[in-house]
Amino acid sequence: MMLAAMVVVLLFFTLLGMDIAWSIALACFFYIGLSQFGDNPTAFALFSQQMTVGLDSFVLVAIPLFIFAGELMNLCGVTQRLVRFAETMVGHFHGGLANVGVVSNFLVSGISGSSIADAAATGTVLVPEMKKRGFPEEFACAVIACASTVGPIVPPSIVFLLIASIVNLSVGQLFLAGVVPGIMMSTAMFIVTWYVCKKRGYPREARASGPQRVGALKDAILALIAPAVIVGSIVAGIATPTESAAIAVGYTLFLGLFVYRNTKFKEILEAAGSAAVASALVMLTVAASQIFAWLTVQERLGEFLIKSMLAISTNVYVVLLLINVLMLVLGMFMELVPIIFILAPIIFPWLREMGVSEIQFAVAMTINLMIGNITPPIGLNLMVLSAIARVDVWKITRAAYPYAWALVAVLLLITYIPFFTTWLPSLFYTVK
Amino acid sequence: MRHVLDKADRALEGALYYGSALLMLGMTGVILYTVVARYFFNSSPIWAEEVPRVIFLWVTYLAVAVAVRRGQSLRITFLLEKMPPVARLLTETFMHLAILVMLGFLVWHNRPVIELNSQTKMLATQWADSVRYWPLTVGCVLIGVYQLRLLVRSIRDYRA
Repeated sequence: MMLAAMVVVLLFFTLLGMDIAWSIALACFFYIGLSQFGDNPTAFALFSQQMTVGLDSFVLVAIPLFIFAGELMNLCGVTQRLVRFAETMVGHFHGGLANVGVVSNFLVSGISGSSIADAAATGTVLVPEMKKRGFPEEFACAVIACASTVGPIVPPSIVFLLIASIVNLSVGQLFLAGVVPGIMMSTAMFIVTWYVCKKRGYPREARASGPQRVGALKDAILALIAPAVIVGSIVAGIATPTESAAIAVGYTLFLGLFVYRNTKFKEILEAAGSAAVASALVMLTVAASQIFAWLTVQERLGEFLIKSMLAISTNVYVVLLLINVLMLVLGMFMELVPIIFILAPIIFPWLREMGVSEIQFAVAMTINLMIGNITPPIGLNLMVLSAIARVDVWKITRAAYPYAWALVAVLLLITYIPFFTTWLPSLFYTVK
Repeated sequence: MRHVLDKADRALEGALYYGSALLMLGMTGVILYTVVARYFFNSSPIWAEEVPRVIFLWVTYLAVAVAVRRGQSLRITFLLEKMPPVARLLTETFMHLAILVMLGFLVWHNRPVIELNSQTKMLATQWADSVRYWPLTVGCVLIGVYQLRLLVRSIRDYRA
């Protein structure tokens, strides 16, 4: 009963327009307040304490650092170089700049690790250009919103870091596990774009000459190897995930200061400030979500969920389907951080017992929640693009349907075929 | 009077924003130094994890205040935008007040946590443990000030 009241308060404030982090915190506050009238009151001091303890982890320090690396990437012109490189490689295919958007997002996600940051970075560069070339603005926004869902799948990934910290998984394994699914997602979206654009006769770019391609590759090569530096340092045991995030910042700074020579100290300070503010909002959501998850454990939500699903079927394939449906529905109404904190501690141990690879399921969970980012009413990627291009969210949503279905197809492949997620990590680790 | 307040407001925002930025750079520097020290000087400092964790907490709660001041947030506003001005003002007032009450509770109940932790020390740095719990109180007070400012602004906008 109290749990239901907490969820109602959360949805009430979220839909009313309150910041998501505050909505979650207020829902917890409401629950604790209500519990004072029951037999087993929860202390308010625990609420205060958890707002600090929930963030006091060295692994979580990696999150602001990866966001900072993303800010520096935009500042140093890395994003523009990667977009130009993608343009020379795939701009001439059916889909033109739309496919450049798909490929750029794949490349950019190798540094930043956040789909919202990637959507904002590539959307700002590509959406105005696509509009100039004659693409309908809602389609331009939909392509970038969907293409950026690959951000937390291709390493580094903020979502993987969160999951790893909650269920105690190897960050190195998770980062490697995301590579093949990331390629699959981008390929699926590339095919959708190719087909839709060919059918609707959308424009494409002139084929780039050999020297133009070589020039663009030379220009982008140092940015292209950044993901290898980040993941390689973790897999080789040279650095922890947090240290690798600092290395990513250091590497991007090196590019800006000494290679491209286009970055000033004042601009770096501004980028650090922007990253601090952006990551603070994420961390506030993380802190509040941990309390929310803790209260749902108190209310035995886990037991209820597991019993309900087992009542439908005990077959592992059906259970996986049910979990995916549950997460897709939750992803439509809630931000992904609280969903991860609520469901991961319940579902992972359960699936482990059923023989499902945790690494595989972590990737499936992330793809699932990324689909939530392109489905209304709370589709954050859609909202970012809507804000950039001033296009109605619902129009973008309609244009995004083909991509959402393509991503659902990839999700099913990842959920049921372990090879796609476990093959690459198994070359370096013993995969659980 | 209003001119002075505006100036103080801008100065506080600047201090918080650039303070967070410097802390972020410091945190990056400390972690990079740890990696360099481990591979080039063969000795990793014992405070390698504690210091970044403490800085991280301070960055988070100071920068959240800046986000509130600038109205940067992850929120959906389609319902709010469809409301008539009076309903919108009432809704926003209700939300600001709800957050203010919660912040008050957080600050009040964080006092004993700080007090308790001021008696123990962190292992490597020997700083008082309370240094990890102060950011929440400082952050909540600053956020509270900015929530009040937003509230006053909503009322002023409605009147205009």
